[in-house]
This record gives sequence, structure tokens and C-alpha cells, in this order.
Amino acid sequence: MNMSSTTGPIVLAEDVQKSFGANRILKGVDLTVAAGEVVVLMGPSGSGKSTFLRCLNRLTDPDGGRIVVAGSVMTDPATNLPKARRRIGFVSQHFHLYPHMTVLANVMEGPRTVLRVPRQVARERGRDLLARVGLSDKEAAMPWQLSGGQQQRVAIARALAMEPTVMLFDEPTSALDPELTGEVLDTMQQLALDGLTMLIVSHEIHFASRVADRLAMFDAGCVIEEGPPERLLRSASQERTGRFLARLMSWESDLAATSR
Amino acid sequence: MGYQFEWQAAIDSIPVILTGLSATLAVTITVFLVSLPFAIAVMLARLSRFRFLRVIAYAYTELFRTLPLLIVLTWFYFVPAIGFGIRMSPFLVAVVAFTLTFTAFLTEALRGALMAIDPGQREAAMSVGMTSPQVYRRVLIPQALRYATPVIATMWVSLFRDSALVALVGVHDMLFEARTLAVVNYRPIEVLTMTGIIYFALTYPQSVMIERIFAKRRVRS
Ligand SMILES: Nc1ncnc2c1ncn2[C@@H]1O[C@H](COP(=O)(O)OP(=O)(O)OP(=O)(O)O)[C@@H](O)[C@H]1O
Ligand SMILES: [Mg+2]
Repeated sequence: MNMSSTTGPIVLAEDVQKSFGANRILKGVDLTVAAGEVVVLMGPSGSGKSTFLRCLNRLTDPDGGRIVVAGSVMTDPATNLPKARRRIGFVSQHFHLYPHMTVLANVMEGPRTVLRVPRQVARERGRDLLARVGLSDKEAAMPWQLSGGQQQRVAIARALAMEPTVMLFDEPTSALDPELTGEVLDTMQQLALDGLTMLIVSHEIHFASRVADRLAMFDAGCVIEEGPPERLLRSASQERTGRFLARLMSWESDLAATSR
Repeated sequence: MGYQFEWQAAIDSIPVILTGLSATLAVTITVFLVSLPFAIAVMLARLSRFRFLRVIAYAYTELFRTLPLLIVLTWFYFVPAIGFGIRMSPFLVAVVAFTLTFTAFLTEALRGALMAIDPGQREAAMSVGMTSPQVYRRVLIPQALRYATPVIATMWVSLFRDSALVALVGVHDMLFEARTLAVVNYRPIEVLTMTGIIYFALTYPQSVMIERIFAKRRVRS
């Protein structure tokens, strides 16, 4: 991965504000992600996690605050956003593979169109990435022929093809059947082991405790608590965090029970 | 009453009518091929961030979707010649008038298809750093064309049928040849009936084929 040479944080968000109409969604979010760090963002539905993530690569325009990602000041009107986004991988809940292209073409598209990488080079890199996410045998398949878990792994390969400095994941497994989440989480864990900087919105507690260097709890448009997963998951020092985590855990064990 | 329909005259008219098939096809194919890129351009103009372009494109599509084609056709037949002394061949008049109208309808079909694309597609493309033109060229327009293909195929069939109007401005298509023959053999009913049968025989298989192709495709996606 092309690590940024600067020593500052890869993601820096200060006092990020966002409203939709009269609805205040982000009420001053502060968050940093250091190089090589994996941060998992958790919080109740509707608390603004997706909105925050989308502000980071400016799919959504924040109303206020300062955002620096991979060396680009995303909140500066002078910033060339398409150029800045090249270094920010983004994987969404619903994969959104290009349905008119094969799996390999999906992965090659960014390098070919945006970076003007020669076809031969892009193809080789694409094949390497598909091997990395365990889908070498699917390169000629069309997206609709793949399971959700496979599609999501292609989406990850497609983002990695740009050799991003940081990867943002928005609930990458929440649209998947429970038995398919494992393969996607394993892929992401491998990326973490490879030292990739990642910010992940996820409700998968066991994954988070295994992979995250830091957990950030999000509620009602703010980060209310953050720290190493062991500490947060054990003590759950804030009452709201505790309640939320307790709910999640019981829900997860329900799921485990039913799938058994 | 008591009209004696002469089958022999009808059958004899077949080869004469078919001499116009090449002109019918030439008009249909030319209009179709010219309209497709124009329609994409007008659609992009309608979505442009420049208000001026949006207004022009909107006015154009709405105008030509409401004007009867016959009026457009005869306008281009008379006005440039009489008003400006510009001589246009019948084929050119036909192609210009039909293209203007057909492009307007095609634009709407494409725009509808574009709107039906999941916004996540655009965001996925933006997320790898594509600029807006790249997003349209590589991701949105190819998908819009695919979604619109069944509608566009149906529009092709209507275009083929409606191209009979060009006989009015002197293009030697099938209907033109039919009318010319009727004037000399005094058998307009036989000739027109046979022309109708020929149009049906050429159009219906196209419809069925399109129906078959796209019924299969729908199941897949
Ligand atoms: N484009 C939009 N226009 C208006 N309201 C929006 C828009 N996007 C999000 N919202 C609102 O903002 C709030 C936060 O949404 P967001 O998707 O960020 O929450 P979330 O924390 O990601 O929730 P979930 O866990 O369900 O994904 C919700 O109430 C949502 O209805
Ligand atoms: Mg969300």
C-alpha cells in the first residue's frame, strides 16, 4: 500500500456538522485515524454514521468543520475532489458493481479510466487483486452471477485497485445473509494484517474486537466514546455505549442460535 | 357495391412496391443512426449544469414531441425552398424532419432509463475518482442504453412503419411506388391493400423478434 510519507493522521475530522433540512444529523464529529490504524465506528441506526463517512470523501457536502483525508483538505473548495478521491477507497453496503462489466473489468475500470494505466498492467493488477480476495475463478463472470459476499469482495478489489491510502467501509456486511458475512470479514481482516489504514462502520462486534485498533462509539451525531476495543467492550464506561453494545451482543447471539 | 377485387393486379403490384423498399430502409436506418448520438447529446444537455443548455434542450424535446410529424415534414418541404430558395433533396427533407422528431422521443426514452439507474452507480464511479464526464461515459450512458434497448427497439419498428410518410415529399419509398402504380393501372384498392400487407409482413416479424429477445433478457436481470 502506498503509505503517505507525512506522519500526521490519514483521516482528520474536526467538528464536522451536517443537517438535512431542519434535521441536525452531525453535531460536531471529531475523529482521527492514524497511518496503519484500523478504526471501527459503531452506533445505533440513524445516528449519522453513513452521513459522516460520505462527508469524508465528499459524496455528501458537510455544512461545517474541517476534513483532511490522505493529505487532501476535503473541506477546501479549491480541492480537486475527483483527484483526492483516488486515494480514498470506498465500499458501501450494497456493493454497486457496474452491472454491464465483467468482474475483472469492474476492477480494471478505475485504473484504466482514472489513472490511464495501460490495459495490460491494469489487467495483471486486477487479477492479483481478485486472487487476493479469493475470486480468481470469477474474473469473466458478470456481477449478477455472483453471491452477495462475492460481489462485496469484488467491490473491495475494485477499491483496492486504485491503491488507496485509506479505505472507508460502510456496513460492508449488513446487506449479506449471515452465512456470507464471514468471507467478507476475513478479507477485511487480511487487509488489516497487511497494514492498510481503514475506517469501518460495522455492527460486527466480534470482528471489531479482533481487528480494530480502536473503537469509536457514535450516537446522535457525535462520537461519544472511543478507545481500544477490549476496554470499551469490557467496561462500556458510558451508559449509552453499554446499552447499545448489550443490545448488539444479545442480537448476535440470537442470530448464532438460530443459524445453528 | 359490387366492386370486383382483382387478385391478379394485387399480386402483380408486389415487385413494383418492393422497388421502394431500399428507400424505406435507407430513410429508417439513416434516421435511426443519426438520432442515437443526437439523443445522447440532447439528454446530456437536459442534465447540464448550464441553465441555458437545459432550457434549449427542454424546449426542443417538448416541441418536437408535440408537433405532428406531418407538419414538420411539410414545413421542411416548403419553407426552405420557398422562403430561402434552398433546394433540399426529398431524401434530405425526410431525414431532417424525421430525425428532429425521432431524436426528441429517443431523448425521453434515454432520460427515463438514466433516471432508473441506482444512484449508487454514480457514487461508486465517483468514489474511484472519476470526473463527471467519465462517470457518464463509462458507467451511466452504457447502462441507460441497455435499460432503454427494449423501448428503442419498439421505436425502431414504429419508425419503419411511419417512414411511409416520406412518400408525401417525393421520396421513392414503397408507398410512393404504390401510389405511382395505382395512378397508371387504376387499381388503387388492390395496390394499397397489397402495400398494407407488405408493411405488415415486414414489420410483424421484427416485433415478434424484439419481443422474444427482450423477454429472455428480462428474466436475467
Ligand atoms: N440525503 C438525505 N436527505 C435527508 N435525510 C437524510 C439523507 N441521508 C440521511 N438522512 C437522514 O440522516 C439520518 C442519519 O442517516 P445515516 O444513514 O447517516 O445513519 P446511519 O448511522 O448510517 O444509520 P444506519 O445504521 O441505519 O445505516 C437519518 O435519519 C436519515 O434519515
Ligand atoms: Mg448507514
